[in-house]
Amino acid sequence: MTTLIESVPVLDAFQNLFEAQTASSAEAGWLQQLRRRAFDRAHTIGFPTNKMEDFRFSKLSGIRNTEFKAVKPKVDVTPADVEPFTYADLSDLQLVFINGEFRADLSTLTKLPTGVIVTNLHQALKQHVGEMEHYLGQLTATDTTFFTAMNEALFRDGLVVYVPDHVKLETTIHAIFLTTEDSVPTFEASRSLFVFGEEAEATIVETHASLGGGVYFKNTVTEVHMGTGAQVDHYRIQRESLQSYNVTNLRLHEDPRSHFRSHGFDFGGLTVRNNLFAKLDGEFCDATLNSLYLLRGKQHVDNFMWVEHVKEDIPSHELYKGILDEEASAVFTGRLYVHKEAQRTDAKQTNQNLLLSDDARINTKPQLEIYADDVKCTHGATVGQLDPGALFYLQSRAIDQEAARNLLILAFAAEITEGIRIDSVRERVEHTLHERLLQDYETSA
Amino acid sequence: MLEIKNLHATIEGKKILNGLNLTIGAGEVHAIMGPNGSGKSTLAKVIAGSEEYEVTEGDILYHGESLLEKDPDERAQAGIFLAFQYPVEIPGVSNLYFLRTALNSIRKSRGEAEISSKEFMALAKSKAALVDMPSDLMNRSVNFGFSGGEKKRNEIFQMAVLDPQLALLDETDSGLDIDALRSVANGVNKLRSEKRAIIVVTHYQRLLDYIVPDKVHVLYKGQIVKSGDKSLALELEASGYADIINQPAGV
Repeated sequence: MTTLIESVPVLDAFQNLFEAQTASSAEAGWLQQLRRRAFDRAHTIGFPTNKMEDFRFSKLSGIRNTEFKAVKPKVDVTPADVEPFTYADLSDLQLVFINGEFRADLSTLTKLPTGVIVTNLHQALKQHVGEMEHYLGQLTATDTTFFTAMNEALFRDGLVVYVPDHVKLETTIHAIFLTTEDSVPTFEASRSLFVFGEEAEATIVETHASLGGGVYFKNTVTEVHMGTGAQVDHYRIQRESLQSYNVTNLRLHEDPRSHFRSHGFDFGGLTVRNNLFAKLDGEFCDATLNSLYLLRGKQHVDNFMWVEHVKEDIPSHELYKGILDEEASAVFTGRLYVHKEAQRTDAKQTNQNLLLSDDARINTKPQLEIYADDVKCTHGATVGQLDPGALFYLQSRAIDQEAARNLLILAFAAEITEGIRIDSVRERVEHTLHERLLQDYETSA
Repeated sequence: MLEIKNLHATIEGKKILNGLNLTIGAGEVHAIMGPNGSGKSTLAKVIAGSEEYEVTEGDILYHGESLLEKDPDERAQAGIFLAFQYPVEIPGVSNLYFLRTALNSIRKSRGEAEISSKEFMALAKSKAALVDMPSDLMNRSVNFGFSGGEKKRNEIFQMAVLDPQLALLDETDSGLDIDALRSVANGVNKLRSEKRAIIVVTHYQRLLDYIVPDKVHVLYKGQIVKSGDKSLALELEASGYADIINQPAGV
């Protein structure tokens, strides 16, 4: 009798990366413990398979079957390389990460109001030890996702933002995460932590992209603590390499009357999985979680969301819109979980998709789980094509077919893009949408 | 300007137009009347180039050239405008952006420079005043959440801005109360000109009290069965379509 133990290349890579890191680690004991626990947890959970309900339609084989190497630092990146990803009006607080590591020489950190911390994780672990030990990993402690555990075991650097009570940070934070091309598939894990005090306000823009393309696996975890009455806008604009694998995990915790608004834009990546866990844990807090994905070729975006209404009188709105062309595919799994105590919940979850080709595919599954008896919860999913009547209407106004088609696609996206409160960012996103619709797939990113 | 010869058209294999002939010159206003299902709206949409319909026989000549091989946008660039019976709602596209894109497409096809934002605003304002288009409607998404009357008014506003040579008004009166009807008709009257031909497709005579046509045609089973001057419309109003459609065509 023979026992066949199937080797999983990504797990082998994980093991190697973890061992190499442990061997050279000079990190604090609590952090080493955090990593060790995460590593063990990842192995207990195991690499996800399509047999698991939360991954039923996910495309995981690309990640599973690649033996990724640790991403290498790239020193010769210049401001000119970064320039296309910057915004002139967001240059006062600009943090640039190349291959997962902070680059002070490419970043700008203008003087901050007293008590505000905007820095990179590596630095924060040296300068703000107590806070980091308290907050880092707090929201992921109950996470049972393989990728989150993998990130916790291996993360290198990331964005750390702390805005104390009653401080309104006027300057928008822009973090640019760029990955350079390598001849071998590389792995990087970045970890971000945002902590907002009572009545704190801030806006964070994250740009994720590649310099030159290539195959890599980027695994990102972000923890967000929203204090009582905090108001935050968060933008994530993703234009990764069209050969890359990307997993993000955002864990949000909201105290009373806080409002977190997230706006996600997925344009790049071969395979993308976005996990979003929101725990709405204070009366009258509010969450607006919107996302737009535009996919072509064989791109695949898989959005998984878990929104938990714990307390009374909480509204939440999730609107995910997708535009899928060629052989692209997408998954939407949205779960609204309303606790017994969460009376007068007002939740709305919507996933709308525009399929531009016969080969594009969407699996969408909005779900409600409600234990309170006085709630207003709606969920819905639509899948449609461009309306021929609207196309004729535009053409009868002299607009040619391609322009008419693009106009209707942009109009479909407008519900999300119009939510961007920074003009320059909205214009860039609209421009990217345009570009992605017009360009040949192979040349765009 | 427009010469329709023996036009046959079908939708999903069903015959709608069966040998229709019609000639319209510049400066003329023709009314096309007829009972429901006679092919009135089909005629308007076929001239504008709707792909829902297939032209199986005959021809449509515009300034002596056949339109049949031209896409709807090329026809619009050549100066044809269809005011829709049911204007389409396009959430997310502002009315003014849409109209400026349309106008620039026409200008581009003529080899003219694009209109500047400032010039366009001035043009839009003057045309809005001409056809009583409320300014708040101009800034909203195209027809989105508009009432029936507002949609029809928006069609006439677009016509005023795009300045077509041939305008097809498809049941522009449907769904309008008498005040809105009068106001929309006034807008159309202000757009009558020596250079422009207008085809008014309508089921009822009442619109023609306000937009007085040079000629009236009765369409039945996809053919024009009777033509006359404006008094024909009054005749129809008095006696209905039955008398006319019972007579053989061409008598």
